[in-house]
Amino acid sequence: MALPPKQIGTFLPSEISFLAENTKVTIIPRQALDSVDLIGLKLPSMRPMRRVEVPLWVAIILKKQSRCNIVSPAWLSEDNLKKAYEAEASNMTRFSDKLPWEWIEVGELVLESAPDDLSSAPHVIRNLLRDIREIRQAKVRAGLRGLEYTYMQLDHIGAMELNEIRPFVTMTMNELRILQNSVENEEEQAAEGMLPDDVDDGSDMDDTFETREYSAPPRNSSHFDDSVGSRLSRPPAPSYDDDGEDDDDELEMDESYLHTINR
Amino acid sequence: MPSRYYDIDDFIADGQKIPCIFQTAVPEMGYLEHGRSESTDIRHGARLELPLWLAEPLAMGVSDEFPNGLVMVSTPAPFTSKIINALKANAVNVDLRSLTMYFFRLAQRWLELTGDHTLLAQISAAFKERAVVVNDYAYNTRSTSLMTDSSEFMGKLDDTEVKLYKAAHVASRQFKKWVSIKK
Repeated sequence: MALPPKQIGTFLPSEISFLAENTKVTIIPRQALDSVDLIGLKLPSMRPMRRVEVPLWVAIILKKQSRCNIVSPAWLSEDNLKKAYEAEASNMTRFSDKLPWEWIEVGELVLESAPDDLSSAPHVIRNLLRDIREIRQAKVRAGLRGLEYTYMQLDHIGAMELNEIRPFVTMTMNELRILQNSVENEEEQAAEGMLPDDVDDGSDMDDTFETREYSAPPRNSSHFDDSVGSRLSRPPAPSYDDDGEDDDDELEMDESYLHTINR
Repeated sequence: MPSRYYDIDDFIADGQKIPCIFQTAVPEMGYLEHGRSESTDIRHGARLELPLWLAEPLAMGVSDEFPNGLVMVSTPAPFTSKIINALKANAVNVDLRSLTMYFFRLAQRWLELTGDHTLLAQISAAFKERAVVVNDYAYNTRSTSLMTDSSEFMGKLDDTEVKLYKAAHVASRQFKKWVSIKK
């Protein structure tokens, strides 16, 4: 593949930040601008002092040209961040739901491009964001101790935080899965059917996606069990000819395995 | 192992040597044993370390004459009770690298052969315990908070854990880089 190995299977922080620039923010234009048709997006017409909602990247461009003020998102106010911090601190096993999916990126972008539009002094906001990030990092770290090979639930984690732990978590879970698969047995397969397929309330797209991503049960378990399981413990000679039919399955396994290894 | 045919790590794990006891004499192969000349035979009951890829088919029954295989495989050094007990006591302090560079790959192969659930639980637990510390070191390369020298711990990691360390370290470094550009 053309990408360097470290970029396969994960995003760069700059890419996550780029994606976050599509978030809608409210701006107060200072100049009039006719509606603009873009691919996949139509900018509303702007009139001075009339609030409109535009993607963050448009807001940043206009702000740089001093053509608008960005109304900082409600959660990015000093009060709300303090509340969010308290919510984080009061429950050390869950992430609070007071922050949006792209809170780190949007926070940084707004702080960088429009520090004068914030409701409080930028350094206050920045410190609060850092405190929240640290307390959430501590939770992630504690959560890693409970890592299992089946699934991991991280409701309300941010995109950037998820991206940061993704390589470690996926590799660790893959390793645990490999070890587990090596002694596959009947109980295992029975339990596989009981994996929670919807552990989330489904209200949040991101959460659901995440749970799915990590919940991949051991694949091809039946195949493993037949051809690989405890060979030595069985005295009669095992058959070498039982892999004829599921070549396709094996190929699929190869690719997915290599893919995870590449991470 | 068809499913991991292209995995180079699995390949190397297969080359790890495990102790075997011969159940039969093998003519003219005595030179494989240490310090014996070419013309001698491998004796019945001789102990020899064979690579896993060779030991596995030899240990399986190949004919009616040897229903239990040509060799008997005994537990490799990294999975003896001494090491497993050490892992149970304090997984983080065990020097896996000096045992074998490919501890967890070898563990995977060994578990496939034996189907030992207790061993699986112990090795998985040890891996988790170590992985958390690996993650801590990956995030704090110059840390004083861990109160130990990271190179000392790093020297004890097996190949899988080194890869894990690199992945976690790159992710954390990229994030720090991104934050520092923003400021």
